[in-house]
Amino acid sequence: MDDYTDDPTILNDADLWRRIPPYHFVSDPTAGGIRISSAAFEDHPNGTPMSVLLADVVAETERGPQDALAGHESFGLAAFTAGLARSCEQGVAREPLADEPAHAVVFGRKTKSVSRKLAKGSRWVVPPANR
Amino acid sequence: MSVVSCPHPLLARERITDADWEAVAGSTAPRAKAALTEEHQPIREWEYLLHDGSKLVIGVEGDPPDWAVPTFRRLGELLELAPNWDSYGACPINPDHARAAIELLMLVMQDDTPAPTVVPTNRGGVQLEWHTGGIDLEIETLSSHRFLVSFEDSATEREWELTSDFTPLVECIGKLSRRA
Amino acid sequence: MSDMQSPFPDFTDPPVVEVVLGVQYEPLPALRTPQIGLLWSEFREHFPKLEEHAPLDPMMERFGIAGTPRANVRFEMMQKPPVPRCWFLNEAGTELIQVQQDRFVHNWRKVGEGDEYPRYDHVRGTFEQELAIFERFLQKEGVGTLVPNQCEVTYVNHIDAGDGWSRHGELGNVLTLFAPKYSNAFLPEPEEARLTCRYVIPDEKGNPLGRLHILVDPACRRGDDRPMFLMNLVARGRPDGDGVDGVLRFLDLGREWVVRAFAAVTTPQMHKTWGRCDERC
Repeated sequence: MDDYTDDPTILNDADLWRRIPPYHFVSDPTAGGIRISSAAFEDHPNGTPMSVLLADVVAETERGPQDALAGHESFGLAAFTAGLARSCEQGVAREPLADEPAHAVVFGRKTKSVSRKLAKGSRWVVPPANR
Repeated sequence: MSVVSCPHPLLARERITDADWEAVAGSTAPRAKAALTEEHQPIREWEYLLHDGSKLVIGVEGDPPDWAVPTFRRLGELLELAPNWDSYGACPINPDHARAAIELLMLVMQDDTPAPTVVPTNRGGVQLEWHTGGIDLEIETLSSHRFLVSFEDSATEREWELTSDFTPLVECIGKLSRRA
Repeated sequence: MSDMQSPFPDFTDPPVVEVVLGVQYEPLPALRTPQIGLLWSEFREHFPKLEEHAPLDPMMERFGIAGTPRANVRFEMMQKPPVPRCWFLNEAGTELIQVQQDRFVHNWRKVGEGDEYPRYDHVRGTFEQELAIFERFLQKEGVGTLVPNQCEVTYVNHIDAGDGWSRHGELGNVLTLFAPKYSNAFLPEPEEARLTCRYVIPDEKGNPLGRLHILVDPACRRGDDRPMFLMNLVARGRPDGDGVDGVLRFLDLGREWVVRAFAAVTTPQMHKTWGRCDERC
């Protein structure tokens, strides 16, 4: 985590996308049906920061939300802003990969409180199907 | 591995001097076999095939409350998840964590507490969640005997690590049960 | 409030026949039977004998829970043989080390009449050395890290019939806790009696740290059927701090509770039999 620096070129209103597996859909009538579990917003088990996709970079490469879910059709796609992440004392950094130029990371200590704020502050881009 | 509440602390004979003595014959039986409360209790079992090929059996004997069976079955299903179930490199669920979650619930839940939503964590644990009656309660397994509890309602927001003192969690479950 | 300031009870001839010091830790899945066999080689010089036993279930002292669940739950991994609990025994059979995936235990026991209790400091020192060897082994073999979650001190006492009592119904001659004072004259002396009680051991801030369990059961000695009482005092709780230091701190505290409680719940008459020799004699 010490190797990452927050990138100010990723503006606060930039959307960050995160794939949500069906196991992290939580029934919540007060939240309008399905909310996202805080467990969906954690760093990688090996300690590396949480992966996201930069929505604007996805668009620049002429792709859309369904492309982000390719191969994971049962998943949903959630979005939260870079500003929300920074308000939770996280940083956002670009980390393009060979097969994914839109890849980025949200780095910083992921306390339960942080994970819950990210979950609460997220909205569906591709909601769970058939629910 | 059985999950039994309130075990006799010396039920397991781990002492080498146990061979030196015999229990007194004709000792008082702890239960009277003719008592009605000793009637045969039903047993239900479910089998799950874990990602590594091993088999897990979860069984319930007695008269479990309404929340129990669906919760235990959901835990069994999550144990079948293969690695990378979240597309971000998640670990399969550790059976010790699932067992810890069952044990915890048996100790703190009331009969009328709503069933939790059970979700896997990417580190191989499980998280029990309730979002009802204005309460958000989450319990994450950190190990076989440690939990991270997060409770929020309109008046309170607190988070703590639970090891042996269940008093605050029992209070939270009580609030949840009353408001559900 | 527990009086920890009074002189520490001491006996020249206590009825203790076994002392057990143990630590339970987060399960180490990589500590399988072959690894335990390798571990034995670290202790084999002094513990040349090996036995295998079924593993013990985990034990945790928990607080704040009332009532008993009305259902039992079974959680069983099939097609996977359990890793045994292995005993490493010394030649005389007076000491052993017990190892399983989540527990490390040292037992001392009295074998012959001439065997004297080597005292807590010696047993504790031995346990500390053995635990250090175990930790180094875990690191060297890449098995995992010891993360203790419970500690246990057990004193087993065999109280033989003789001075002060001869029948199992005379438990009141042995224990201050048991005095059959009836409301009327209907009942005779009990044929036998047994007692179980437990106490909360607090930490320095007064929060529950563990429990002291006292269990007294009637028994008969094998061989001559001589009546005896089996009196077990078990102090079990979470480590009082991190790592092995936290384990040893609880063991020391647990042992203090065991000995002070033993003196408190047994009668002055039995203290004379056991040679009590601290300042309150």
